[in-house]
Amino acid sequence: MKIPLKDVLLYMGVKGEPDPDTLRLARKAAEKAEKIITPRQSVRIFDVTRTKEGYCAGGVTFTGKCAEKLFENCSRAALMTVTAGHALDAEINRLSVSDMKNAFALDAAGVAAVECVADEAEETVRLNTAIGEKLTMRFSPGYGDMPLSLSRAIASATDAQRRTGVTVTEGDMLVPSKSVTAVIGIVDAGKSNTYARK
Amino acid sequence: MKKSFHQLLSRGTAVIADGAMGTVLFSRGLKTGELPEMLNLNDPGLVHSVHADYVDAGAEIVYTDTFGANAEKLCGKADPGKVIEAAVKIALDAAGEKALVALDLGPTGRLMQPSGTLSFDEAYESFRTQAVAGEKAGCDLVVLETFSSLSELRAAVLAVKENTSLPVMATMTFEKDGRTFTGTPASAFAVTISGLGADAIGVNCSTGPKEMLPVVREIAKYTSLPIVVKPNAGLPDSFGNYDLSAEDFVKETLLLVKAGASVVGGCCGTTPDFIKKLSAALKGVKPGKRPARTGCTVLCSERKTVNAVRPLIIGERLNPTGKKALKEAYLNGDGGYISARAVEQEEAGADILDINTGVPGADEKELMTTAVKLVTSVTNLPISVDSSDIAALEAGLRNFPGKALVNSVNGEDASLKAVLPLVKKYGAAVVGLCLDEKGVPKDAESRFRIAAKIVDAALKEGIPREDIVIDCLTLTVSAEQSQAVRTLNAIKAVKRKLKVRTVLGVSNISFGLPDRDNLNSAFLISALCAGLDFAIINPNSAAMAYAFRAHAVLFGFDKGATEYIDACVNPEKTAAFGKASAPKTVSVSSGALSPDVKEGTDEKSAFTRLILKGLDSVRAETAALLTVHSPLEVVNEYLIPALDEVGKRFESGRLFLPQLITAAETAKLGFDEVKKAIEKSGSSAVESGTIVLATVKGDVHDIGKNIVKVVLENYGYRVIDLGKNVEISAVTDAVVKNKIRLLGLSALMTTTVVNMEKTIKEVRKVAPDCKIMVGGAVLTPDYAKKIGADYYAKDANASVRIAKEIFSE
Repeated sequence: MKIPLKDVLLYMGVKGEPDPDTLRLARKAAEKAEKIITPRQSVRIFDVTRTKEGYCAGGVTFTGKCAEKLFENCSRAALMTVTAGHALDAEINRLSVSDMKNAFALDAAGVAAVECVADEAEETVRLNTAIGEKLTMRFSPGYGDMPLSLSRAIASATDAQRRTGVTVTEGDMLVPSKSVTAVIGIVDAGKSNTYARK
Repeated sequence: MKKSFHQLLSRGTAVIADGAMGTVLFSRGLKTGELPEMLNLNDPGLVHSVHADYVDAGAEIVYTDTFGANAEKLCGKADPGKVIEAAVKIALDAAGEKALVALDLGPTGRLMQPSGTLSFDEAYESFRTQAVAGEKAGCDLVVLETFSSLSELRAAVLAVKENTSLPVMATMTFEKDGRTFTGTPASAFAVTISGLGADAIGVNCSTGPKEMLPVVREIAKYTSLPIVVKPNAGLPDSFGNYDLSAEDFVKETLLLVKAGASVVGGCCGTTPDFIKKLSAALKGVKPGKRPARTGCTVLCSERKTVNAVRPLIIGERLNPTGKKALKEAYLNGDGGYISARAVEQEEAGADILDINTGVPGADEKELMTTAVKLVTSVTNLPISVDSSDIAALEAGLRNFPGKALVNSVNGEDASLKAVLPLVKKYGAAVVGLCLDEKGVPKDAESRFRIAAKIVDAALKEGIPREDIVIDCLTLTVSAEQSQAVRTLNAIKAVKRKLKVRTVLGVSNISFGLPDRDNLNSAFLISALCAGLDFAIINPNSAAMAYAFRAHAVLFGFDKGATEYIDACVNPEKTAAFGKASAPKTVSVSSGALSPDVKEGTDEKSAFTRLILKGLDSVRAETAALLTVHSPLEVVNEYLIPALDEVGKRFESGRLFLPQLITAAETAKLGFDEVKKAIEKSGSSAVESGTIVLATVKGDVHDIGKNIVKVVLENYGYRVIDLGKNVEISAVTDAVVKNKIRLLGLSALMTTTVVNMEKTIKEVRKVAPDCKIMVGGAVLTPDYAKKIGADYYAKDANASVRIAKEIFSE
């Protein structure tokens, strides 16, 4: 996997043209992350049903304004849990003790890495669409009015612990830290959806 | 009558276990999102039919439908005990006399500390409840399966063994790279769980049989226990379907039996049809012959296995004897300091870390528990639990997720009686000291006799010879010059006649003499030549590191001298070598200069420039300044203004976080010089104040807090870092004990800010004058005020401003 350098710099909070030292730091972190990540994805595609409360896919109920727009004209939806893995967390931890600068950069590279894994998972979903079907943008718990607590339900519906090693804490945090849960609507052929990807 | 589990295993031919429960239940109507375990109460007939079909297919062991029957996964929908009772009853009824019933227990669903929030005790209690309920309901054995955390699996095995008399099979899930999700290699799993007394171990889930083969082979190298395999029917697609046919599954699974597996079934995607075909194919088939054991000592952590096929270094720096700073860190709960000593030794090339928490007046057991957790969270190394306090030894062994070395037992009967059973119970290796009631014998023969007594007692206890390591003891050469040679002679005798490994604390040899490294390294080499296997040394000492590595080259342990060359060429990789070689030089090419660094010509702006660019020469510059200025002047007129300049640029967006951290770390080199000068002159320390930092209970993401720590420390503040997921009481204790005036708390998410608010409330009760600053992604100034904090620190630089305000009052 190739982690885009510009994303690493973005998550490092670097604005504008980076100086050579910072650029070197980011590049080193990206290379290290590429070596030590253990990317895993679990993607499941489910039928969407309209319920009293909102929409249901794979036993997960989505309510609220975002859900209304996201599932508009979607007969199916994909749930996903992805992660850059435990080894990355362990290395960030270790570096936090001995080399904070590189720990910080590796942390940023980790965020960039898990976005890449999520992109790959989205590709998995795309491979399973029929002609004319479109995907919506990726929506993660915590965006808009989608509650953080949905992480647990999505992780469970994707059998995340078994398939990816991702667990959810009682405070709805994902462990390993560089992990994402998300839902993507699969828009029926010929229909429109506000969040549909171009 | 039904055969017992052990009778079944001793039959000599492969034993058939059942296939997937969930897969079949889903195909018979269970919906995604519904809990399979609830069917034991709501639709027992359905569960019964699955068991019955597997028994008909030839399964000799069936797993109850209780994989997720724990409080966490049942979410209050039912009591785990009730579900287990019903499930065992259903399975027993379906199995009749034809099959054994295994109580199936999966992981809790939460991740263990330190990566997650689940404590050993919580995990243990959850498994204990389940196992006791299972035994009461009449199951024949317990199977622990699909674990990816070795730490959690250990808690489960101990809970079953300590509270029931049931046999235990323990299986983990391995990825294609041969490790579990949390990074445990098959070797570490096999070594650790065999040592804990499981009855059979193995692999289930995750991949198809073919991918499991290398893992099974690896496990076979490290255990003599029966091996269990339950592969998936290949890999699932996005609709939850698996890709292997029953025929292919059977064909591939036969390879696992050839590799030595003796209990065989199926996991996700397999059905009674798979088991029927498997059972037919395996009728009367004997598992393949297992490889011979190597007989060398093996230790491991959760992520690393260390084979003593060559001499190894045990790092001695986590022993508070004679180390004031470490003693204080233990007493203050300053995890940051302890972690740093651990990482430093790992980077310097230690293979094993010795942990000793013997601080007079402190609770050694509690300190050991904390220290073991800290060390395992930041390094990958196995540990040596070093204590004469039995409770502390047990605490260390219980909390270490791997196979540890116990340091130590000696030839006294009381010691043998107290220590060896613990070593056996936790499957550890043990150091035996050649001394007894009468002290250290002065001759090699008597030491050998004590060694023989220890070896004999350990073997009788059931501890294998490869796990016994004898310490022939180093005596100080300045006091007893003839003893050095006797120690070496004793090592030779022990190695030759008792065929066990040896260990030695090397540094004692030079006590009371000048230039100790010279004597230490000469003695180290002599001992290695006498056959020493484990050298307890300071790996940060360049002389020792050189001696050790040179020996490895000369005696062929370091093939092609690659490690030696690597360490010499990349001194930054090996801290000890780095210290010995020339100081790191950073090229100041014009390209490395930030465009906005003004090229001032005076001394102060030149110094600021060094800090801004992160140049190591700051150390030398500071030393030079100290020859003409007082330490206080250097701090106030050079170091702090330089850092302030960095802070200003950061605020204005001309510098970013990486540069802020670099500057802070560079300034630390300067502060180190100042500290040295102060110590030399004996004047009072320049310390700006002490700050406690913690990431609150329930929150396991602490990189932000760590950045704040580095920056504050390098401004000269003393930071007591309590770590992450910190209990409220630990925060209040640290604040009260150290009369703290400023506390910093971090929390990443809205869900954990709740605990931040609780922590603040408790701190207010016990230390109303302590100011509290908070930070974290979801916090804002208003939010901070709302939860009762005094300050909102939006970044590391803001925390410095707040600290200055508080401590200048």
